[in-house]
Amino acid sequence: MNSVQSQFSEKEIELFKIYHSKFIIQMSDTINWKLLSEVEKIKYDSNYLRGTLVESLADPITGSIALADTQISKFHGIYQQSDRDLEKERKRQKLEPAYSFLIRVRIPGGVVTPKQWLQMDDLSEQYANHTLKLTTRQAFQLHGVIKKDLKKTIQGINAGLMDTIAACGDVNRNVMCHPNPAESELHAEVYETARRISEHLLPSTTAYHEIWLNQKLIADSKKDVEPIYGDRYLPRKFKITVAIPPYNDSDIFSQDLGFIAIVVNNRIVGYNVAVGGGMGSTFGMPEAYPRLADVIGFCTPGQALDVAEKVVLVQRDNGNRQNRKRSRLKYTIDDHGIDWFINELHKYLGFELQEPRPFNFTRNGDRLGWKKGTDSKWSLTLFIEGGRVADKDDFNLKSALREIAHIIDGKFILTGNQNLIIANLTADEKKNVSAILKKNGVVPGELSGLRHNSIACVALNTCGLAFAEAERYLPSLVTKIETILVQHELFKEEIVIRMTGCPNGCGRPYLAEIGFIGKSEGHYNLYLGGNFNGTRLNTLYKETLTEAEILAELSPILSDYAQNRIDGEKFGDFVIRKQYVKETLKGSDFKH
Amino acid sequence: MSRIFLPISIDISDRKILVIGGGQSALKKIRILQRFGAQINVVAENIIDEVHASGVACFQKKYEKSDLQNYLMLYSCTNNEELDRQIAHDGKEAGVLVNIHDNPALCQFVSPAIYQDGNISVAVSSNAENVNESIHIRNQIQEYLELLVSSGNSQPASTPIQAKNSKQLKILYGTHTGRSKTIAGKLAEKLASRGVEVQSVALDDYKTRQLSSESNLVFIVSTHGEGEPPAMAEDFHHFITGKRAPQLPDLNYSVLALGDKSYKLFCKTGIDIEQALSQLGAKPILPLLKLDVDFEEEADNWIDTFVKIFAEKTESEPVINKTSANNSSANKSYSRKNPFKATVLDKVKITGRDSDKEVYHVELSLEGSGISYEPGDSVGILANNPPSLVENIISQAGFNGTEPVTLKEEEISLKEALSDCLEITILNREVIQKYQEKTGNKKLQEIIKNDGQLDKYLYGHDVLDLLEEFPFKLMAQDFACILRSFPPRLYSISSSQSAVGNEVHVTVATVRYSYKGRERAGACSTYLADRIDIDSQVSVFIEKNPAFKLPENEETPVILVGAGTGVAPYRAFLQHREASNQKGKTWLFFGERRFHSDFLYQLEWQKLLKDGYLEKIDVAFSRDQEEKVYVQHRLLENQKEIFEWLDNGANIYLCGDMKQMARDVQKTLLRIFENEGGMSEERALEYLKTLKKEKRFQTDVY
Repeated sequence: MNSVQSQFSEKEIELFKIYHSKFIIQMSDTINWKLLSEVEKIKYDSNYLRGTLVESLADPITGSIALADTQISKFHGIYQQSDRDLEKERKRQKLEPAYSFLIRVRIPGGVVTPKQWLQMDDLSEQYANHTLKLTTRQAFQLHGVIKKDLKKTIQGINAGLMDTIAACGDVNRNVMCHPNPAESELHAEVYETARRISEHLLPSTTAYHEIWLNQKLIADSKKDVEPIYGDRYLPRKFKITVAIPPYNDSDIFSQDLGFIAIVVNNRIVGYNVAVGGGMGSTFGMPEAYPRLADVIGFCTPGQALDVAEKVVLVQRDNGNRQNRKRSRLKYTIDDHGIDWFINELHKYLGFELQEPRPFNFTRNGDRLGWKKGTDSKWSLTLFIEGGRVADKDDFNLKSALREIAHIIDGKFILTGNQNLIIANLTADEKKNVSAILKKNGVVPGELSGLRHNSIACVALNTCGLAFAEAERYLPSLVTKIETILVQHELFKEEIVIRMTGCPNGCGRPYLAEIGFIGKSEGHYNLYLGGNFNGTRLNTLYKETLTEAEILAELSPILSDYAQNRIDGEKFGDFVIRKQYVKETLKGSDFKH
Repeated sequence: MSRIFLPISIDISDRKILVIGGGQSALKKIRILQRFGAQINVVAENIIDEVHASGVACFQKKYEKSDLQNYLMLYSCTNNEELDRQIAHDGKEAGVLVNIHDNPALCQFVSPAIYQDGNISVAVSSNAENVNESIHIRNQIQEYLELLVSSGNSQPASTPIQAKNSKQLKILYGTHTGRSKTIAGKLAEKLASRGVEVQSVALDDYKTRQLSSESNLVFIVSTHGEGEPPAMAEDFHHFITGKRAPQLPDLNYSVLALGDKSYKLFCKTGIDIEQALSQLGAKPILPLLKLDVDFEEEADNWIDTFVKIFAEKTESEPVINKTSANNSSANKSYSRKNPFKATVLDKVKITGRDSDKEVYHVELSLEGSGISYEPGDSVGILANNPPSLVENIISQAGFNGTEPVTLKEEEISLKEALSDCLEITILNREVIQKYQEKTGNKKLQEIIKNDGQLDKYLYGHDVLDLLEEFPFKLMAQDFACILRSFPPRLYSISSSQSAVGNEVHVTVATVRYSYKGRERAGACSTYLADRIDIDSQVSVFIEKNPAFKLPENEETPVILVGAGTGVAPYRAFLQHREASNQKGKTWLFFGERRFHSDFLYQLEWQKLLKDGYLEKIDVAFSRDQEEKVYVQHRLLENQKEIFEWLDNGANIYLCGDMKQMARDVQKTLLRIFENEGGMSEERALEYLKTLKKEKRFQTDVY
């Protein structure tokens, strides 16, 4: 025992004791699985995320993988889905659902090289549905990859020096950060912080390399250890972002853990730490609700990695493993109280966070168009509707970006709002990029302030959770709302509008000034009163509306807004002042 | 002293049985024996017409001892005691079992009074002492069994008089979130504690065929989205609200519907099921209850009420009245000449959207026909021809279609004849010959003279080609006489009656191709694809295929090799095995073009595999990768195990396309014998022949 202990520092031993004292019963053979959610056992039995994935991939009778493997595959960045448009038809045809897989690529801070962009573009053409989805977490998604192409696709991603490890699953997900080097010269520093956190919190199992990259099984796979996660990983997903005020582009309060850069004299002196944000909720389950993160303190840049790890550990050891609907950090905090949490975190850290420093967010979302950085390099923030990179009719976005990737030397940076920044361009490159976009019909034309601030999750036809359309529908709904906006001369007014197909919140609808959550096909709940800087939850305004009803509800409010707003008053603030809805003060008050 | 006979059940299908005597009592015996498929010969000096007409082989002659050769048993109905004694004596000597009509003392075996329905046979024997008593008891049992069937109990109660056990109840649940299942569990527990024989079954595990034999059902079913049933209840919902649902006058039921009031169509699935049941004549035990998301308390109350009412009701309920359910006597014999008009129950294209194949699954009703078939048999379908081809032929030949023609002594219009009675999509030698003779066309004569050329011409050409390429003005009647009468098309049946009851299923690939600038269509496959729909009537008959049958010994392993629609009879085989709960050694090889769209009956194979009725399945999809992969490649990959299976007595079946697949598979089998059995080419061929001879290698190729 002594020789084992000697490998660890004193601090690590202390931590192990805390961990062990909490898990002593469960670490023995007497884990009472009946009390825990089913996924807990699946994780435990998976032999560090192996499950029976190899067997599942080899099974020629089905395009799906075994049920337990659908949980394990998420940790590898892979979701099993099926084409829901064909669901009934194929059932009648005595055929299994048209299974395919979503592959999410881990891209800390959303930064890729032109070469990596080309690789993803290529893979999307070869194995996926010929499109790339840019997610709200600055990651790529490929959709429609069939089982027998999974391995080849992952290998292609690997060849592009990217991976899909922990892009989904009960672990820390893709770490986000402010995306625009031209907006902030501190971009490089926050990006580095995000990247380091992401690397540090990666699972250490070698399962991924064995299964997808054909790397040899290590002699005794039992040697795998997960020093951070343990054999059951986290109770639920975990999300981290890093922001540079005044921009709240990654909606820091929606994340489990947020770092708010505190800048003094153009230098990051440290970060305010915000914990306990989360969007997901469930219809008919008032105990599951969206919640905004609490700012609990300040840490130095050197402490950030440690803080990230220890917040994860407190959640690992205290999060609810019985009920997955209540297992995010936000509930751990609400169930124990924020003071308990801070105290616990300090124990794990071995030091106390400092008092939080003042900060101010003025807005969320992205600022579109060209911007020159202090280094004289240009960057272009390009609006990508629904984050979907595709060629459509005369709008050859995908081809244009491919062509651009061939000629530039800069970076492609995915934003947290499904948009894309083409960054670090010389003046010459800027000219060429403009020409290519124009040639392909991708002219940043006149966008309404509403469309510019729109987010839609994928929803139908591939997401298994969706009750209604989102990405395929929001653009046309926005067009209809724009007619109303034009009538009231509000076309240019920036209003945050977001739509998701279900209440799980991938598109962060609870922070929108106008939020829609799908109830059933063609029906949406309407939420109003989020604010423009992403610091307030919205409130249910009307339930289960059809499109006609949505327009009928919004029209008079927008008219009122146009006539009676106070100077500079944002739409989300107006609807609260005029009492269309009551302000939601805390997550647990939120109602569907 | 009275003798005691051993009652046995014996399979006499295709066994030779001799009936001596040709009168009424012989006829009676013949009728019974025919029902069991015996091969009957009659020897008698006087044979009445009905015996002649019964289809048995009649030998009008005096009885001789040598007549007894090679029979399993004989029935003597001579009414001549002296002759009977002689026959009894001769029979014993020749080793033939003897039954002498009206003379039990001379009998080696006696016939009990029998009642047979489905898989159940009841035989009552008085050991040759009192025939009338046997018959009387048989009638009583028959009445009792029919009562059981009509009142929905498959298990007889302890005494015949207490026929109906109304304390049986099934709870069928359909759930998305598990709530319905939880309620079902609670209800089951409470009912069981009141002595009710209760079973809780998921709706996707429930066989709708059982419905008409149920007495008491409780449905607990949720609704999601805009009135959608949960996935597991979809099929049942479709069935019960569709036209296939049987009348259910003897069913008592209750529906508990779960839903969410914030949706417009609240509890729609439950409401649908309630309405459907009520329309089918079932009687509610409690009225429909609709529950919102906070259902617990109301659900508990409902359970208590239900249990109380149900328990009281069943304790006081008298035995229900007998309803007549005996229509099995409608034993008309349908045949190729006298086909049955079967209603189309369902028709669905079972190849996926992006398939370049078009395969239909068609379900036909045999209700009321008395038709029975076995797995491996074929169904004959009388189709009609593609209307566009009929039109084109009429105009090409310069007719208008109304010309009368006489076919089989019946006058019909030419159009009718071309559409329904004559073969026009395919040419054969005889038709070309006759056409040439009528027209005297020289060029055609050249083709006929040259076998190679003729074969080439026969392939892919139809009657319109003949008219276009060798035009000649014919009289309508002459033209009709040239053509061959339209033969029915035979398809391997893809269902087993033990699973689908009064239905027969077929799996048909539509034949369409383009040749010489014109779209061509197979007559019967496009008839099924384009010209019939659900509710249409299709003329069918059964064609037995004794050469393609599951092994008699259910322990015998089977290897099933099929490409495309060649998998159809295996669906029947496995349905049969599933219905009779025969698990074990079955290995299916299936080939088609693409996994995504052409994996015929994929969901069914998956379920059979999961449930253990199918042990292994290997698939070959030829177009899913660069190199073409076919079933024979999969066979070869598994050669060691295949040979082991065969060596251990497995039967191997082959069904599908004759030209390519069958040839390649046979070649591959020979190779396997050589590789794995260390056989020479000759020995391998010999081995294959032996397998065929022993009926262990059976083929159904077309």
